[in-house]
Amino acid sequence: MSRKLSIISGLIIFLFVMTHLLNLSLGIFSLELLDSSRPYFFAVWSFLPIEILLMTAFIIHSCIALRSLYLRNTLQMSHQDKLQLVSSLLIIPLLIPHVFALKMAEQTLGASPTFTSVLTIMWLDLPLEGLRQVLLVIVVWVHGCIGLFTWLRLKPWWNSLAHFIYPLAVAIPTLALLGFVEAGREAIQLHQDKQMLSAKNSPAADVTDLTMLNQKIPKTRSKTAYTNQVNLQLTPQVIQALILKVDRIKRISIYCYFALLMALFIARHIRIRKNRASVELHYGDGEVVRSKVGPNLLEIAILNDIPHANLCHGKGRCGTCRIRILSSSSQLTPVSTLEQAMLTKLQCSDDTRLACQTSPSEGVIHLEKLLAPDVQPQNLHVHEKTAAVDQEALS
Amino acid sequence: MNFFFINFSKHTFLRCFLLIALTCVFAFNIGNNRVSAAQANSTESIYLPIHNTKVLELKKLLSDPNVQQWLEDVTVQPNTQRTTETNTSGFRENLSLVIEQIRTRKEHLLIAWQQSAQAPSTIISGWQSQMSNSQSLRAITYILIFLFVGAGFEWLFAQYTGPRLLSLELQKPDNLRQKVSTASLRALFTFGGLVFFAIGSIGVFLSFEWLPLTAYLVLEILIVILLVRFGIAIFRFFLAPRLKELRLVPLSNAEAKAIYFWAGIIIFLTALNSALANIFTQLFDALPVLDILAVDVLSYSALAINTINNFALLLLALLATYRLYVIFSTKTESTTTANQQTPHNKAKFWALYFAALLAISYLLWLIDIQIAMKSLVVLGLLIPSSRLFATWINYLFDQATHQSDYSNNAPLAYSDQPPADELELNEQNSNAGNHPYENYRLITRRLTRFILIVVAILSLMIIWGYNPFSLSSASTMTGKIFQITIDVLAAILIADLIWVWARTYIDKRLADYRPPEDGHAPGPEARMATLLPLLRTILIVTLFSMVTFSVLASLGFNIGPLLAGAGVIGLAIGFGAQTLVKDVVSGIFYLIDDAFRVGEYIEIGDLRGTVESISIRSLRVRHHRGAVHTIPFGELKSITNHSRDWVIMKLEFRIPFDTNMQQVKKLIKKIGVELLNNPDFGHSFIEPLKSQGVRRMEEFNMVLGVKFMTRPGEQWVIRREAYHKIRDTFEANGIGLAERNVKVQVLSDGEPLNEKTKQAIVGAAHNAIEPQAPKGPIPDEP
Repeated sequence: MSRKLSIISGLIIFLFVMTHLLNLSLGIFSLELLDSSRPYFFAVWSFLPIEILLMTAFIIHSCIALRSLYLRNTLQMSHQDKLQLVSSLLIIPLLIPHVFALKMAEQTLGASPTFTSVLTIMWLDLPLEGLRQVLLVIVVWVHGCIGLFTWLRLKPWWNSLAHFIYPLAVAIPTLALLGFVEAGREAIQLHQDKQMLSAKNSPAADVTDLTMLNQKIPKTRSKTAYTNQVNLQLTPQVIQALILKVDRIKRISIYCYFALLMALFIARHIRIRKNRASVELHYGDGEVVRSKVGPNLLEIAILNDIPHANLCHGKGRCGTCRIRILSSSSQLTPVSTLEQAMLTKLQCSDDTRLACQTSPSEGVIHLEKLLAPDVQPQNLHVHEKTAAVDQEALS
Repeated sequence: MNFFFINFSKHTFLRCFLLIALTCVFAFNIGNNRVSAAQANSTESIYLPIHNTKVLELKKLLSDPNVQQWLEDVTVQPNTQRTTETNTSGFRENLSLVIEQIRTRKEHLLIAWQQSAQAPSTIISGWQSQMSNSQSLRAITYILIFLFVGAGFEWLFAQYTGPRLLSLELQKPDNLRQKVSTASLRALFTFGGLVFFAIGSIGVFLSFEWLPLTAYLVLEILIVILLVRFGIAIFRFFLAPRLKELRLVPLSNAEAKAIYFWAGIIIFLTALNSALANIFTQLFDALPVLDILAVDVLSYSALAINTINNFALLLLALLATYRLYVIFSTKTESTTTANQQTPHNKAKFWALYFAALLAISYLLWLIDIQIAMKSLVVLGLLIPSSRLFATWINYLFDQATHQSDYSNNAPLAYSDQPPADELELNEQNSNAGNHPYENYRLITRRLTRFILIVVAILSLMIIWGYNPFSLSSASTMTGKIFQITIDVLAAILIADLIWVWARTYIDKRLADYRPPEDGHAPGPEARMATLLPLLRTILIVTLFSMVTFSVLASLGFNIGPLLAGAGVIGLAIGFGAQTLVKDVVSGIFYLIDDAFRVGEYIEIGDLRGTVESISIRSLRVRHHRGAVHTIPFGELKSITNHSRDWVIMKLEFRIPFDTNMQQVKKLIKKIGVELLNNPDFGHSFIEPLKSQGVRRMEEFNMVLGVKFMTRPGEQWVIRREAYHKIRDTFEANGIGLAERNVKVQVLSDGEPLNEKTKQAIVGAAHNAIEPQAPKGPIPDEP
């Protein structure tokens, strides 16, 4: 259930990010095109139920992620899993300033800010914001792609499509970032032109120009820019207070997030503290491994550099990590419903388990891996098909 | 023996890592040269009281092409003068110059030390004068984007090659060739990924326009990242820290991982240090020339930072040395029982050696004697690296020669158990001696040493400021000395290389030769046993004289007269020893033709006999009756060899006309079978005895032909036995061999002849037969 929810919510967020990035990649051509195309790209997402759906998806996804982090037995894992975990933890602190700034701007101005203004701020006034934004794009995209591909690669049709989707996975963020850079350069140019023009005409005009650009800077730095905002009927004091308030909320929420994370890690530490005993695994090909009790069999294999097939990265979705328990003096965790469903689907015998769902307790286990470590999704489906044919022939 | 080798190699592979560490430090110091150069420039410029306008005038003058031409003309001459001056100036002046240099350097270091607290802030303010904060942040944003795009490209590459790479990593190669090819293929994939990374990141970099300083900064960082990844990839190729099957060096998992880890850190820090130094230099270049004070302060700060960085690097390298020493020494202590002391001491020695080398080179860098430092590093690396390579080649050859044995043996040697019994190992070694690769072991080792020495000399030359490829124009004393050394060394090393190769080959052939046991024909190696020592002597004499001449020539001796003298003497000797030379040379060709071997029965003109010995000049043949003939090779015209491959023997019998030929044929066939089954000589038959039918008709009888084919030397015994058997069989079957009988028809009218008349008739007939009597015994046979 939680896996399905996590996939669905993740897909929704991924779709949103993709739309956003595709929009941004138009910046390669011109800033105007970028701004004028924005409403079309965001048409669906600004529709209220869908906006709520997006918000819910985001909250669900992060809650599930935190829960699975709490349930994780070991923090040592494959590089890909590590990358996914770290990127997921980074998303929220990187995202909070972006979202809060936009929301605040919407509140104060009554309309969402244009790309031109945002890009000017990010490239000119607050380059740190630009850096943060680029980091955010990278982190979100990497996280999304890992999750997406891990899910997709088990589909039977994936192999025929993978070779066309992989380039897209690189092309979209690359183009978006290039669009970001190009549009940013254009914005800088525009700003400099205007400044020069206003310097020629009148020094006062300069300020009004700047207001447009600096609408949503949450810093006192551009205080002067707000002094002339008569058209909005807001006094600078009010805006100032608002900025400070949002800034404070932003900071508090980031602190809260880190506190939550810290609490989570402490709780997890308390949970696995009792794992002191060690277990000995004897593989069919003669490898012997000793490990602390706690991590599951797949994690133990990965920690000890023993090649082990795991296409879904220990999510219990692919069944490639299945093993046969030859003999065991250790108490293995009971078969969960997820595992049972997978085992029945694969028509496995009773002594077969999924390594990613089986945690050993103290003792000695003799086991053998049932699939080659370099198994590929295409082989998997062939295998399943032949297995099904065999079953039919037998019955 | 084998086991020792593995232990020994562990220590040498400790060196492997240290070598790299040192090379890195060395490379990094090259990077720092520019800093000191920039600093030197700036300090000089302090003392020049220049006014702005004058500088402008000077610039204007300098840009004039005529002035430039004139300047070039002028500067060429003083340069040559100056070099001769420095040559003539004595050792004392040079020394004082160096001491003066060290003193100024010391002052600089002192100032830098005093400034070190403010150094970072100075550098930052200098940086900010060139690049605003937002510019720097933007540069970082750009770098992030480039790296991301590069990583995306690499990821894409990995998606398409990933399955292949994975299957490559999982296969367990069982011989060296497969191992090397798999490892290389894996490295190729890694480098392919790197290339894609470079294309992605640098490609995007090139698609933007840049401020010069930003461009330099960004490019420098990209290059550092690429270089570090490249270096680490090379280490991965050799060490394969996670995959024992693909490892090309004899190390355990833990050792490989430790070396990999430290090498990665050192490479990274070195690259970082040198990049920092380069960026500082670039910063000075970007600063306005007239802002002398700022540049000066900045350069001191940069010096302080560089010194501290290098010191940190030194400490880290020492720490790495210590860590590796600990790993290697504990490892050997647990593996060796009998041989505990020497490998431990060895590890200790090399660790101390490298620690000292690192420390001394840092000190030399600190007092800024670049030449001495680099020479020290080159020379200090030469010995360990040559030994390292020798060990490595030994290891590779061991792997190549007993592939199957090794794979059984290797886990034993690596684990903590004592090795299997020595006998087995010795056996393996003796097996290995027969392997075809074994010939090349020595030559490969020599060749690597040769290459290492050449590389060392070339780098020394570059360090001392001589372009190795334009030496002929060098006119200075040092240049000459270098040239001569290079010539002499090259001659000796090449001769050594040829000699080692020839000697290993010849010695191996000679060692393989086993003299034939008594009564057996010698094999084809027998002639090599004669020829090879001769060749070896000729080769060493030739090589020695050639090297001598070449050395003399490069030392400046005129070897023309020597050669002419040798030529004249050679001519005289040649005339005198004409026949001797003829004998020797034609002997060599007879041996190459394989015309005869020791123990063969040959016929030369009227002489025949068994070859007893072959000397350089002559051939000794023993007649079967005991006489010994000595024949110089020059006298040989043609040789008949009776001992080659096969011999056909034909026998003839005379039988009466009324013999039943069918029966004869059957009888002969039976005899053939009997002879073939004879335990003594049956195996010598190539074709059995068989009848050839009637060969011809004679006056009084038919001639029956019989033949057989045997190995050389066996035909006589078989012939004897065949005669024997055929006669007996014929007799037993009532076939008489034809006797010479003359029918005399006497035309008497049926009257019986009296005795006397009969006697007379027989006497007359006897006379008629007489001329046809056999001519005497057949020529001699053994």
